[in-house]
Amino acid sequence: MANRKVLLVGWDGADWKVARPLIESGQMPQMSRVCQHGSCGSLQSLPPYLSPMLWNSMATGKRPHKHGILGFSQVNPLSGKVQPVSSRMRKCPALWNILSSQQINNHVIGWFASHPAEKIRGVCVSESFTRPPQKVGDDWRVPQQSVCPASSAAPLAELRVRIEDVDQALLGLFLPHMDQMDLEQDLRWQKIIYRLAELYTAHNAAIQIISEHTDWRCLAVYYHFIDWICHDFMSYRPSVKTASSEQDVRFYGSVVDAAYRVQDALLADLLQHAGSEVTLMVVSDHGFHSDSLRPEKIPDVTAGIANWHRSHGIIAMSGPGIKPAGTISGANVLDVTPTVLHLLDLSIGADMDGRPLVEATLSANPAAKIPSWDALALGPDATETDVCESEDDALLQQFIDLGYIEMPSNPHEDLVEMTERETAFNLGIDLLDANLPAEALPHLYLAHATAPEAVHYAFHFARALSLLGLREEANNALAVVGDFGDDNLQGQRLRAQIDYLNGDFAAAAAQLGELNNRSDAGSGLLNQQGLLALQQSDFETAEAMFRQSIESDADNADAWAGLARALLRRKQFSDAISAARHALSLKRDMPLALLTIGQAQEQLEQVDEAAMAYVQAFQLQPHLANTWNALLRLTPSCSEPVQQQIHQLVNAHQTTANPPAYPKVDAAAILESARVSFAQRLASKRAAMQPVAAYTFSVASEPASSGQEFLIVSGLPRSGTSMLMQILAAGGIEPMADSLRAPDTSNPEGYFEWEPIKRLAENPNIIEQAGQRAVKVVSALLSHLPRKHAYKVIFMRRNLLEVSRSQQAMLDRSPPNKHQASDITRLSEMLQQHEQQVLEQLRKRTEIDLLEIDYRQTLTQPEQTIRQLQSFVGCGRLTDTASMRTVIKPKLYRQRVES
Amino acid sequence: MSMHAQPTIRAPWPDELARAWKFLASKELFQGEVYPLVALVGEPQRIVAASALQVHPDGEKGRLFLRLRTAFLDKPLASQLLAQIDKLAQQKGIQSIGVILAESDPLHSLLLRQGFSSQRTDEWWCIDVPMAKARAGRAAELVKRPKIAADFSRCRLDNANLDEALAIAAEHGLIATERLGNREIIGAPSNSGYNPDLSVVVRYQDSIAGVLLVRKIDDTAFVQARAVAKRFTHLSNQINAHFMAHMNEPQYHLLSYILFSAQPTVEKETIALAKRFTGRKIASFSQFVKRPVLAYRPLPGVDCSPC
Repeated sequence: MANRKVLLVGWDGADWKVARPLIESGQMPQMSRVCQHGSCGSLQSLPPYLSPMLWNSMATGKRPHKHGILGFSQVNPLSGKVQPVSSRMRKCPALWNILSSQQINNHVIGWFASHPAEKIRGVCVSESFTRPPQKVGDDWRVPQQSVCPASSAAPLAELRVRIEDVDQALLGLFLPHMDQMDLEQDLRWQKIIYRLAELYTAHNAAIQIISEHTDWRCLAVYYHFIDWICHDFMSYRPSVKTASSEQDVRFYGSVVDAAYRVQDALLADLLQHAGSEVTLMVVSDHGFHSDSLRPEKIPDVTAGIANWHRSHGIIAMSGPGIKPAGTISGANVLDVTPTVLHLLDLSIGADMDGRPLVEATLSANPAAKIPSWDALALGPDATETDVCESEDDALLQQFIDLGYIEMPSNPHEDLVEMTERETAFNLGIDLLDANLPAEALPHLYLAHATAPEAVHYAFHFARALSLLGLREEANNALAVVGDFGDDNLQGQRLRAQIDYLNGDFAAAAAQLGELNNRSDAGSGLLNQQGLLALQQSDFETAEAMFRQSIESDADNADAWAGLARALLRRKQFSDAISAARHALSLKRDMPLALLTIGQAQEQLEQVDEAAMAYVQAFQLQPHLANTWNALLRLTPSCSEPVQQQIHQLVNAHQTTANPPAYPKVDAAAILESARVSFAQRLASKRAAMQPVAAYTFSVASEPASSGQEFLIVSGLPRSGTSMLMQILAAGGIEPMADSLRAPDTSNPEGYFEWEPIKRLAENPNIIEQAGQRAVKVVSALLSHLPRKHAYKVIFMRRNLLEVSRSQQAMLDRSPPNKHQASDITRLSEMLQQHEQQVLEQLRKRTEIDLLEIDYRQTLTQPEQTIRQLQSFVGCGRLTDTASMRTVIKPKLYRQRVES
Repeated sequence: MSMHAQPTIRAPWPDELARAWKFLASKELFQGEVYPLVALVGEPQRIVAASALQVHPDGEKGRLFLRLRTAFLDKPLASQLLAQIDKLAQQKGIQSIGVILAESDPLHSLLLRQGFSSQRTDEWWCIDVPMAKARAGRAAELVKRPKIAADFSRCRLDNANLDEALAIAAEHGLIATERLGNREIIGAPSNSGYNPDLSVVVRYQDSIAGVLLVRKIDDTAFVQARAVAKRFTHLSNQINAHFMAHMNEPQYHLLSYILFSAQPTVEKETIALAKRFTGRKIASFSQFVKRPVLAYRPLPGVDCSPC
């Protein structure tokens, strides 16, 4: 075992429902071999089924509220900006950090939220590395910090695949009727090409690393391919619920299957390069609805397209140490890292939420535990700031395009607030799923309070309140569903769930009664009806409802657990045990299913087995009186070893009289505190505001017709715009500035900035407040100046190497020579590209009169610049030439490049 | 803690504006000056109704965008909100208010109760561009026949022919006469103007005989007016053939849909043209007015979301 190698392969969105038929029909030969010679099963996902959260749970063995990756984007607390989630936002060590801390060579390629690449004992390639340019022939630079060590980047870069490199024959595998398609008009094929380029780039990196660095013990490679393809093409795959046109189904119906086949071929390639001695683990973070459970409509909420995601992904393991032809049961995405650690003979962190899947391994040793890896393994450094905003923006745009991130779609929508709200919601959902409603409450309240019209926020907030016993509050929180009127299936269902959680079964029955016998009843509604029938001791109806639910969704763990309960009540004990076990194979943390097994086994006089089921139920949920009482009752009849286990439990809880009490939580106080905190925040925000009685929307198409002209000072940050503002002020033009940004060592004379102009993109009319004053607008915002006005734009140009150095120096206050020359050069190249684009746009706009001023010339030949300025804005406006001259201070010329 | 049992009707706070626009589901509609109102209940306060009164540049007419949650349609809140809108309109000197509603919108009866009257109905006929290609291609061949080719020609909408083209549309009441002479309505990239490439002017000998005024809205060509000069109505078939042939031009191939808007009572030929293109009726809108008459076309992306 000492030299065991583990190859961890991530297939985002892979689902047995698609893979199984392909394996059985011989179309995925490699996976067929894995299943034959190894163990496989379903991998339970975690709500809200969002990939960044899930892949980081896999990589850490911890729930999202512990690892801190809570969606596709988050607000960077240091910069206050919205960024795609990054490795620096992760709050605990990942598998690769743990292995590195133990001097184990390992590599990781393309993992979700792994950018910037981390320093590990091996090669780390972030997901940014694999993203090809959108257009043929576009420049494709290796993104900064996408490979660590940086020396590995060049050989990997040579193996990248561009969209133009993708072979036509390969595309033919996806589009067998390509010859009949109008490829000039119908451009959907381009999506496949793009994803293939990305797929092969990641794969080639993995193969290169495997080939060049043979002494590794763990290699983790992540492929986004199947998920991307499913999002774009699953709706065309033939199914009882295909809504697409016949032609689309004919042309695109086999794209998803082709993606699985290609992925299988790449798996074979990986294994061939990795060698036969490798232990393989293929995992996916969630499934993808391919059958009658496909969403009919994507809700208009952030990340609504995650409705396509199914609660169970895949896990398949084979190779040394893995049981042949085994079935993995009750596995969870949280188990991946503990299992890899166990396979590599390392201890599991007791603070991990997952467990090693020992039942899939041949190891006889129980997994060893240490309290935590957090202190031992160095995780990402959250204090560093990500440097490359353009790359962040590209990734952010990709998530927006895909529908995972909502972009402000109208004026006044605040991306930061939207992101904070969604982050709070995702965190709340995770905490609820972890059975921590009190911890979830403030986060769910924040989401609900910032968007009280959103039904899904209101519902989950109400769930938390119900679980905490705040029934009236829960009902109030769900008042929004009543706004949609009485004939509202979704609203009635949600209301019934809250009534049920509140223990108001009559009200729940009244809500559900109206929904009986609906043909569109899904498994969720049927489960609710089943639960209610159980409450009303109508066990026959309950069984029928749960069976119907299972027919609709065979992987619905709640339906199986409900069926088990109904069968127990109908005295069909063996069947009850079997149904409960099936529920646990889908979702292992179901204390009620374990309790059902215990009660059924007790009836069958299998005392030891019953007691062990109670023990497991107790371990999951120590506050259930039923379990505790049953344990105490059964103990004298149990065998010696089982009695010992029960005693250990009892001793651990230091009581024999009662089950451990629920931890006391003053939920009302938590809620009140959340309310007060939100109200204070709102009041403070509104203190400086007035209600908007009238609002003027700009008309994008209007020519410069307003008759107003504004004076703008612009340039790249650190190009000398503040000095320019100072010159204008000295000359007699009043600057539009506030004092929110005080002078500092970078700008000892002050910044002359006006904070509200930073929101120009959201509110272009804000410029009108400048009047006759000069206002500083950063170059990136110039495109948002409304076209209805005329502008005089003074654009400061400075040597871009100086600008880069100055920006870097300002960012970290460290000497410029600390940065590698390549970083500065790279930044300078990017700035050059940006500056060129901005200037090109400005020159094209007829309503803009542009003056370009040279920074060095201003400091060396100030008179010339002053003359240019006076001529440009009109001498009558800049009269005080002497004062203008005095504010130009060559001694402040820093970061000078002598060339 | 106040539960805000009583609804509040007021102008929104700046931080509520995004929610108000979202509630109105009309993100692309507003231009110029708009007066928003929101009705809120509960704690935290949630929007259950919202309105935006958009003022016409003449300052006398207003277009109202209104949305109420179903449960409040018959509540006093609905009439209170409309009363506030009326008051606001009076304060701003707005003489008439127009509202466009989808056929299925439950606000119809509320508006009628509040003194609005039904003014006109517009229908939308939608054509999938790939489906229309064959017919447009045949029309393109047809108009090449010597008999038609000799007398007819097509050209893009431009400043030289704009006045005459608009006059033909106005002749049929398809655009407001006040828009005549407005040169800014051409060539605009947004839905505020006619797209010069998608629009077309058909000439018969030396005169403008027909015009198709088209806006580009996302991937849709929105045919806002199809008009044949009254003195050339006997040539409608040939002019229609040219309209169809124009839709065979490359700029149309980049689009997904062509959407015809027509009043069924007065634009029968437009609907016939849409049908010839295998168009299907996808929506119907009613326009309600209070006091003097307004004429608006419902716009895609703006008027297609009922409560």
